[in-house]
Amino acid sequence: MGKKGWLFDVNKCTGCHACEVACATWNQTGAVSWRTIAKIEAGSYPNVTTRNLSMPCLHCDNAPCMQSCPVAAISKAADGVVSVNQATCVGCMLCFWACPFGVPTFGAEGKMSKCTYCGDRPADLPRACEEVCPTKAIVSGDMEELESLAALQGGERVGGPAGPALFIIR
Amino acid sequence: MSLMSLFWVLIPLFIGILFMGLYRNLLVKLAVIFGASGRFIPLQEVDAAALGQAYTEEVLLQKRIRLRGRLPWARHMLISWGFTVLFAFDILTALFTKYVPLEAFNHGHAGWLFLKFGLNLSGMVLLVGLLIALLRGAAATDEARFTDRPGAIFLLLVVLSGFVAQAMHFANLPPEPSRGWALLGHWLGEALRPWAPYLGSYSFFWMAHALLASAFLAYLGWSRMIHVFAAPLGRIFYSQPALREAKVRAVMEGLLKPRAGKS
Repeated sequence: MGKKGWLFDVNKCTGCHACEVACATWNQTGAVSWRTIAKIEAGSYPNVTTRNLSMPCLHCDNAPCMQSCPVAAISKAADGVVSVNQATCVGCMLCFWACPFGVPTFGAEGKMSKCTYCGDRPADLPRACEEVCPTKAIVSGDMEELESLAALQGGERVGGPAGPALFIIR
Repeated sequence: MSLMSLFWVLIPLFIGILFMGLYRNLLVKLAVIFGASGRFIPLQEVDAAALGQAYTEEVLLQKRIRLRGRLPWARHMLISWGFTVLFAFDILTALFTKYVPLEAFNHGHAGWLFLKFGLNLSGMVLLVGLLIALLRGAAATDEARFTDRPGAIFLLLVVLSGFVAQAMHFANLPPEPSRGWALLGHWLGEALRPWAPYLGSYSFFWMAHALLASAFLAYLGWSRMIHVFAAPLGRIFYSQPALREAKVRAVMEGLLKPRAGKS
């Protein structure tokens, strides 16, 4: 089974938040958002630009959240997807501090929740966020396929000791 | 080896296991966090008001659990405060009756009655919390999956053995009205009095209680109970919104920076 990951094209993202809505709807996360959408403005008038990034859990190779969990509530499956067992989670929030991307979120009940890579969706369907993205800025799939796709479009894998499963086109 | 010498070997051993657990399951994890961020939180960046608010809401009042419902909140408050106050009274009892003995804390004196009252009241509070937790855990509700049943049963054994040992001790002594300050210990003692004396079984229960209590300390570091230490720490960190935002923003800016050669 290939490792799963993401390819994100910064140049295509318009920051419309459709991915966030689709994610919250499919996963029934309520007020909690499993995606962080950042908008960075650059340049000076009249040459200004905005760049957007919609980021879910990056299912890192060496997931720091998993390494920092004091009760081993976070695990990594054979397909690379990092998941949390809410019954074991004690809601200490140390995972948020360990995650370089600040991905773990905490709802009213205090337990950690985050992107599950739409684990309950049929395999032949795209992830909920990917499905609704109007500009196709989000692509999910096997890391090997994503690597080839990224190489074709001038993308690169995001580095760092955590090893996030993300290719980015900037 | 006598039972007493075994006791003095096991107590430091259990405390050592607790510290090993804290090192392995908390300090090493904190090292991962600070290793990942590459720095400690600078003191001047700490929002003291938010810190104070988080401490009050998350640690003292445990408001986040209140959002799950009144019963889970009451249960957690009873257990955490019962345990904390009981632990504090245990330390005071050891201090004033064994290591720095003061006359006021001699058997039957005002200080002794105060300690007995504190120990028994906090023990009763803890007992009620544990019973609610176990009853709720047994029910087929969504809340049941959050119950740490092994931890609750273990703590229940510690508390019950303590009450039984104390009651046997009181039942062996002549009746004394002021002992009523010992609440459940006194009531149980009076109930057991017709079958006194309990010379052999009292020391067994006392030893069992002391060993179970120390074993529970060891268990704290190696089970979900480690949240006693980890949750206040993590939640106080989380209370710093500026640091939270800065942490994510720095990464986002790095990812959004155009590649060299691209505008």
